[in-house]
Amino acid sequence: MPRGKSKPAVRGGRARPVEDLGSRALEGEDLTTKRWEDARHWISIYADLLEFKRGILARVRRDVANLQPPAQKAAAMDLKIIETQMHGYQERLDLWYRRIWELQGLWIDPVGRVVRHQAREVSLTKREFQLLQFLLDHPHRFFTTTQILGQAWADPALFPEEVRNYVRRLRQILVDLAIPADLVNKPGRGYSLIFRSN
Amino acid sequence: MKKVQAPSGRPDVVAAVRGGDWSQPMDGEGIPGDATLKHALYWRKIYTEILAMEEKVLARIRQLMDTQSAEGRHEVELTNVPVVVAQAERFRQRLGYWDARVEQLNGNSHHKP
Repeated sequence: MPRGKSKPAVRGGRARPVEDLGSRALEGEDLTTKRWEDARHWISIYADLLEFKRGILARVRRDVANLQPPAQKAAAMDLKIIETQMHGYQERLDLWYRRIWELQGLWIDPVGRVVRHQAREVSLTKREFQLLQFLLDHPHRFFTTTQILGQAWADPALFPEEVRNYVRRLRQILVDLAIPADLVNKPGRGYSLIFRSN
Repeated sequence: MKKVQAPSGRPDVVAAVRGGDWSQPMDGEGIPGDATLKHALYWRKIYTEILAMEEKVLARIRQLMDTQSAEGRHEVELTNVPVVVAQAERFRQRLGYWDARVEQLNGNSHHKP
């Protein structure tokens, strides 16, 4: 058992029920569901919607740059709306990730740096734990090695090779604990923890 | 032209559709009825360009919608589409004002965008 007080794998260790957190839900969405398949379903929907918005945003940004200044100002409204909606989708995705980790039985102990998943547990080093916690707190977002050095470890002086080393170690931990998530690397975007959908 | 209806319960979309009010000019646009030919041609060009952009964005949205789940498509229909349609309608209407002004000033109707 973990040495310290265990917590569900939630952002910043705050164990606030996800249904209390308010972003706008889509029709049929119920954060109180007890079925992890539902959580997986909504993660997939929000991930798709975010990708869709990214595509539209890229298109609008490119086109707006070619407009005359007064038109650019008028079209800026489109950009603001898309960005606001993306922010809302990201919030819902975060909530669903938290929910799926709750339903999956993923627990983390920040004091003892222990991670437990479905009766298996492992102790992590400080940096392993910080990286895992950071990726769990920011699901489905990609971070470059520089961002990880600065944001997960707050130590930009470390070498990028350190990130690759710790990514390898975390991947092994995911396997050892049978956590259904992949630490993926996309060229040009960086690393992200993605829940496995099958 | 029929005004776009915003879905209830979506304040972001309601605000955006309200922003699509075609009585609302861009900064520095002025009143078409008072404009010189040069000014009218300038604003006709501005609205032609931005309307073309909105139409391309709408086409892209519809294209990307095909890859969405049913829930995702419904959300896009409810949010993105009315916003872009409202904006495009506003720009189309404003373009109409400037077209009419250009025609009024020099009868340049063969040069409609």
